[in-house]
Amino acid sequence: MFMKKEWVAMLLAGGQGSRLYALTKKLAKPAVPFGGKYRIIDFPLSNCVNSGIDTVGVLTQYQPLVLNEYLGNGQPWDLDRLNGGVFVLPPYQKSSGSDWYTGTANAICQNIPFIERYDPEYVLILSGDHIYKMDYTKMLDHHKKMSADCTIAVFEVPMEEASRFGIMNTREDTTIYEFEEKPRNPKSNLASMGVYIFTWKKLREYLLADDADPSSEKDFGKNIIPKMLAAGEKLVAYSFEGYWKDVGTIDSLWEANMDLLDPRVPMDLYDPSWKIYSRNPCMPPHYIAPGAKVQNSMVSEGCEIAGHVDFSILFSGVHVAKNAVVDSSILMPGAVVEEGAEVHFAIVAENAVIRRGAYVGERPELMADKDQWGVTVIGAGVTVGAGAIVPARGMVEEDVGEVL
Amino acid sequence: MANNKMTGIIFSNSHDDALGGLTARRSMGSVPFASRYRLIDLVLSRMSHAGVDSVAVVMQNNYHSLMEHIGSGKEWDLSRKRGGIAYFPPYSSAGSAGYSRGTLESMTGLLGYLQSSSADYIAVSDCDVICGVDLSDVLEYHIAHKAGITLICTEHGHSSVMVSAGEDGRLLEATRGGEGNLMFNNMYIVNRELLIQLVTEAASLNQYSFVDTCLIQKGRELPIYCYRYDGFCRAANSMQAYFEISMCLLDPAVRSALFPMDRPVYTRVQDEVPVKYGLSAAVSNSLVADGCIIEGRVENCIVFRGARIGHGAVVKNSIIMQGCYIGNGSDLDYCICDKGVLVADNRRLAGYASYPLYIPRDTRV
Repeated sequence: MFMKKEWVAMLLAGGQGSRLYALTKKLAKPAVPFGGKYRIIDFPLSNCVNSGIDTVGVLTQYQPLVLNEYLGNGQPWDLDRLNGGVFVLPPYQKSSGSDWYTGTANAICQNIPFIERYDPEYVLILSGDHIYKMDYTKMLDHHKKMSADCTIAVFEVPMEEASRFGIMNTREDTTIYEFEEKPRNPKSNLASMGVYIFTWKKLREYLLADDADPSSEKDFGKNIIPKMLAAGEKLVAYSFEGYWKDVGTIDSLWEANMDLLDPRVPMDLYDPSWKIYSRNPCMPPHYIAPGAKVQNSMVSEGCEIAGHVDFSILFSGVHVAKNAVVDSSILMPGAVVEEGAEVHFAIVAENAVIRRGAYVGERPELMADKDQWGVTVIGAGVTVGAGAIVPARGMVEEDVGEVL
Repeated sequence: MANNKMTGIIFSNSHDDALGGLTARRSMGSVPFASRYRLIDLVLSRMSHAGVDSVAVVMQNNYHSLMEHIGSGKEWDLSRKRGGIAYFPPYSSAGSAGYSRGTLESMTGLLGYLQSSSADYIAVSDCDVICGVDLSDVLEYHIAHKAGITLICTEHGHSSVMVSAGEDGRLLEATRGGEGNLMFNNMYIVNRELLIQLVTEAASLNQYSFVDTCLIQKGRELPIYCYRYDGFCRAANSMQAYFEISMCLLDPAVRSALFPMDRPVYTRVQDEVPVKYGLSAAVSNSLVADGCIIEGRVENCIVFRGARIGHGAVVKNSIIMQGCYIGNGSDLDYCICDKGVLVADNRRLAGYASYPLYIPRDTRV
C-alpha cells in the first residue's frame, strides 16, 4: 500500500553531457563535481527536500555507476524515507521488448508505473545540469492559482543571449502562447529553465499519445510542450528570480564555480535555511602550511596546501605542494599539484596528478592570440609528467609524458 | 568457539572535571577536537574500524550534546539492525550504570547487556585519551597471548597508573603513582566471560575501581598482558594538555597517526560549505574546517566549523571553536574560544603558551 503524495519529482539524469568532454568520460553530467564539495545533482535534490518533496525518481542511463553510488540510499539529502525517498530508475526490460530512454518524455513515459504508485496530483520534472537554489513550492502555488495544466519556470536572460535558449512568449497573466527553441529573432527574454510542473493526469495523457506517435522525438521541449500548446491546454510561465546557471559546457562550468568566489553573485551557499546537502567525504580538516598563500578561494576538507592558491576552488583531499601555483582553477577531489608546478585557468579532474614543474593552462593576458584562449581540462586520473606543458584550451584525457 | 567478535564500552564522562570550562556544559566525549570532531569520534571510529558493531555508551551527566552528536550512530556505521549503539544513561533502576564510584561499579548496570552479547571480547575505553592505536592489532595480540585482559600502555605520556610488565608482556605489577616502565590510560580489551565474572564479584564485595581491584589487587593472578603502543597517545587531563595536544595536530606526523587514510575518523555531518578565503586572508600553519569564512590573518591555529575571522583580525596560537566570530581588527594570541564566542571589532585578548586564555561558550567580548 502506497500513500498518496501531492507531488513527486522526476529528475532527468541520463544525459551524457558530451560538451563536458573529458569530465564526463566516466560519469554522467549530474555527477560532475561542483563548488568544492558538491556534485551538480545536489542542487536539484536539495531544492526538492527543502521544498518538502520526499519522493524523487532519478532517471539514469549514461555511465550511472558513480551517480548510483553517490545517491546510495539518499540519506545525505534526508531522502531515506519510509514512504518515498530517492529512487534510481534505469531503463528496464519488458515482456513486449525493451528500450533505452529515447528522449526526456520517453524516460518519464517508461516510468509511469513508478509515478502511479504515489497517485500524485502534480509531477515536477527537473534536469540535472543546472546550478540554482529554488523553492518549488512557490512555483506549485502559481500552478494551482492559475489552474494550469503545465507551469514552466523561466529565467530572464539578456535579450542578446536569448537566441541560445528555449524562449517562452507570454501574455500579461503569465500564460504562454508560444514556445520557440533557440529563435533567431526572439520576442521575449524568458528562457525555460528546464523545470516543469505538470498536472499529472494531463501529462499522462500527453505522454501516452506522444509515445504512440512514431514521428515524435519524445522530448519535452520539442514535442510535449508544443503539442499541449497546439491543443489549447493552459501553459503558464513562472518567473524565477535569483541565480541560475546551465553548466553544460566547460566554460560555463568553470564560470559557475568562479561565481561562488564573487560576492556580487547572488548564490549564497552559507544560508542555513536553504542548505545544499551532499555526501560528505570523511576527511580531517584542511591544513595550510607555513609559507602557503591562500586567497579568494574555497578550500574543502582533507586538503594540504603549501603553495600559492588564488581565485580557485579546491575539492576534498587536494594537495598543493611548496612553490606550486594554482590560479583561477578548479581542482577536483584528490588532485595533486607537485612542487613548482603551475595551474592556470584550468579544471583538473579527480585524482589527476600534475608533476613537478609542469605548466597547465595559461592566463588570458599572456596569450599572443587571445582567440586561442580557453579553459584547460585535465581528465580524471591523468598524470601530467614533470616539466610538461599543457596549453590553454587543452583537453587531456591520457597521461602526458615527462619533459626534461 | 571463538568468533573474534568484539563489542565496545565507552565511558563518556570519565575525568570530566579535568578540563574545567570545556566540560562545564558537556561530557568529556563531546569535547570539540581537531576542528571538526568530538573526542568520542576518535574512540567510536577506532572501534568501528576494528569490526565492532555494538557499542555501549555509558553517560552520567551533561549528555544531551553527546546523544545529539551520536544519534543513531550511522555516521560511524553503527546504526545496525544487529547491534549498534546502546545508551546507558543514569537513573535506571536495578544496578544503574550512571552515578557510580568507578567504572567497575558502573559496569554492573551493563551486566544484562554483556550477558546477552554474542561477542567474545569487549573493548573498553574512556574518551579523554587521544590515541592512534589500531584496535585490531591489540585484539590480535590479545588472542595470540591468550590474555584475559590486554591493557593498552604507552612508554611516554602522563598517567597516574604505572605498570610493570615482564618480557613476555605479562603484567607484573600495577601501582598508582609508583614505579613502572609503562603507563596505562584506561583502554583495554577483556574477555567477555571474565569481565562478567569480575563485575559480579566486585558488586558483591562493594568494590568499584577497575584499576584498584583488577590491576593492583588481582594483577598477578589474572592473565593480564600489556600491549605497548608507541604511536601518538596523550591524555587530555587538563586544559593545558588539551591545548598542547591540539597544537600537536599541526605536525603532519601526528595528523597521519590520528587520522590515517585507511582508518578515517568519522563524525557527524553538518553539510557545511567549503572554507572561503577572502582577498586579504593570510593563513599559515593552521587547520581549518568547512563552513568558515576567513578574511584576516590566522597563524598556528585550530579553527572549527563555521567560524568567521574578520578583516584585519590577527589570530595566533589559538583554538577557535565552532561558530565563533572574531571581529575586524581584533587580535588574539593563545586563546581557546569555546563554541559560539563573539569577539567584537578591535579587541585584544591574550593568554600565554603555558596558560592559554579560555573564553567560555557563547561569551560576548
